Amino acid sequence: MKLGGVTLATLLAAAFASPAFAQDDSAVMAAELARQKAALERLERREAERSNAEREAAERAKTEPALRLSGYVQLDWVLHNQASQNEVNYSTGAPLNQDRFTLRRAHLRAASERGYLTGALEIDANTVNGPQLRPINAELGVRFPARDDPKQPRFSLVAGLIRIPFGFELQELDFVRPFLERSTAARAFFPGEFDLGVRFRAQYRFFDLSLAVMNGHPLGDRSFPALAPNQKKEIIGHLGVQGEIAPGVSVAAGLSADTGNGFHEGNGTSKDRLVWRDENGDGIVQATEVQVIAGSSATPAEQFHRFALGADARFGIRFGEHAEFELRAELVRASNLDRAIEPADPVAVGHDLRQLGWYLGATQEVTRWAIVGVRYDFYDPDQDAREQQAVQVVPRDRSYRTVSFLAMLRYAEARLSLQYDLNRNALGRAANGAPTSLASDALTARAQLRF
Amino acid sequence: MRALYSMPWLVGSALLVVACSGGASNDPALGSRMRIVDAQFVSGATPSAQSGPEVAASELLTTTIWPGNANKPLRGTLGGAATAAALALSGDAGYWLVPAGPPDVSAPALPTFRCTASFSRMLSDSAYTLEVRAVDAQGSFGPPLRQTLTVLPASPSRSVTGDLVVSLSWDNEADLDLHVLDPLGNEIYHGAPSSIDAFAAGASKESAGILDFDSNADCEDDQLRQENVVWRQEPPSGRYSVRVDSASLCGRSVAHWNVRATLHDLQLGAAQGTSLDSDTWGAHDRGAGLLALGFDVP
Repeated sequence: MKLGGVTLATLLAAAFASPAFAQDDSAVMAAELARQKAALERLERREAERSNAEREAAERAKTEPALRLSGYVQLDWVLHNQASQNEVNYSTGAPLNQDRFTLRRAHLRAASERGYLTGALEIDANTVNGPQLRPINAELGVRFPARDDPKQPRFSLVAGLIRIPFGFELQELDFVRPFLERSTAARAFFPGEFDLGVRFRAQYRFFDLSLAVMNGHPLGDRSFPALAPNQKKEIIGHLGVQGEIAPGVSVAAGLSADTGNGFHEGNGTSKDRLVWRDENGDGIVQATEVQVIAGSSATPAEQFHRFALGADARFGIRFGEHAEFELRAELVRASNLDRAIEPADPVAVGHDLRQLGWYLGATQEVTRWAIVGVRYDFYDPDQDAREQQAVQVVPRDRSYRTVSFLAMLRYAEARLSLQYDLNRNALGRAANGAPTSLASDALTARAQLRF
Repeated sequence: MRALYSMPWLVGSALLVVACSGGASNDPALGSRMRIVDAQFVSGATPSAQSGPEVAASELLTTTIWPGNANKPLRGTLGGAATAAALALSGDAGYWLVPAGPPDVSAPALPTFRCTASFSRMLSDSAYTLEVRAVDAQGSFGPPLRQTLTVLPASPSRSVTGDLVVSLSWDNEADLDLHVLDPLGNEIYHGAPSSIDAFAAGASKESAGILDFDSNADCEDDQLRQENVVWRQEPPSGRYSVRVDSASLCGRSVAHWNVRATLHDLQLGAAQGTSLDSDTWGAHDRGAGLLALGFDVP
């Protein structure tokens, strides 16, 4: 107000001091005066709005509960899965039937923000491999400034069981992601999406940088989930930019990197064993068929290097309210990083396992009630795979390819999704003995409710 | 809103994709008579056309099999153009595809196949025909090479013969134990596997009852799931009692068992039952178990 008053007085003084005012330029000066008045009023209005917003925020902070509870439930019904068998896997005891109801995720999250301090605990219940209740996110941290202001640089440091900062897909929350599950490559490289460690994050305007030091064995790791058999830590980072380049057109892109060490288990000392091999298939023990397998001394565990480089991009166009089109893509080049689909162990295999994964997906809002989408994802767990085929050693394609078709209905915080996954792999055998796809297409319905 | 009307089309397209999608079968074919480890099972008969390569030789060390026969090695040499071998057992609902492997030194230009086959416990015929066909890179099947496999009643190493045989068999990894109380008051079980100590000096070993095996002991699954007490000669006359002791169900919820007693190959009695978790409680020594069968030997 004071600034506005001074400016107005100065303008008026200057205007009346001019001898030419009354005679020649009275009309021009009047217009200028009106323009300045309008600008001043705009400034005053904006200043008042900001003050009101700050006051409201301060009052809200006083009345906010100390703990915020939220959560969601995702219930799946696999309507059809070609891989389904009414048998069990005799090595794991897990049923092979996939056509079933599954509680995919039921999350309850408690979060608290007090000035510079933040904390959260999220519990996951599911029946994917039988009833399971586990912590999925448990973190405590500090942040600066104490209150989020997009115009200011923001820094945070959190520790605990935290989300792995690699790429875009891993950061996207499960209840936000339109497709039912993440791409095959993401599930292979970062199973479970959470790992124990420390993460630093810096955000300013359209930049977003995350750096983390973690155990390197995420929750979904097939060998040592949420444990750490080796001392060396995994270092992971993501640098992203995000912004609106034109009204209704948004772009986001990022680069990620991961370097760490995998673990190859050694063996304990084994005892001598007598083994009967029924060489002639007559079912009777002959002296020549009994062999001694001499015991061996223990072998030490070994470590191996693994890394990944990734790039992600999203592009969105808003054609109107509830008519947004989004294109998303991600590419990851890795070495020895598979921890879930075909766990990589270069010590056992004898060579480094080069991996490549990428996906391209598109979604389109169709009114406020529906979204449709399609995604192609590709994952090759060993680009140098070879196999003996008759008299020749030939390259072997071991890739997994999936085309997902999605249709989703939504109302308020509820979603009903139907997704068909057209899965192609190299796990079966064709009549000529060459690898071919093992039938595993799936049609899944999912109901989701957030609260 | 108009686009909402396209949803049925999307669902329809997805269902069309469901109908059109193919791929090799996931069926582990555990119901088939012959199963081959790490091979691809294909439902139906092999193609009738025979324009593909021939099978140069199929090598079987023995042509006998028995119910439950596991890990029988099968191997052979295929024609030069072959890239796979198809193996089928007569009466089965499908066949198995095995990729061709490297040649033997004896025939360096010819690919080979090697695999191990297991046979169902439900083999009912006295003989089956094993058919081997070579397949080339275009998927053309060659003429079949057939061999007859003779079925033995049981594994030669597991043949149980004697004047009196009392058998307990069950259906899973559970650790069940057979206890037989003879007319002389001897209890034969895993803790006292022979009744010979109770006989007077000079008594024949052949007339003692002997437990042949403690199957699945300590939940180590040996796949036998059968125990027998055998008197090779002259079992004592009188009343026998058979009990089934459930030492552990080894993670299973139930175990279904059968008890049978035969004298000179004539069945004296049989019983069936189910072991529950409550049956595993208590001691598992002499006197343990539920009474399953009683019979008299004249």
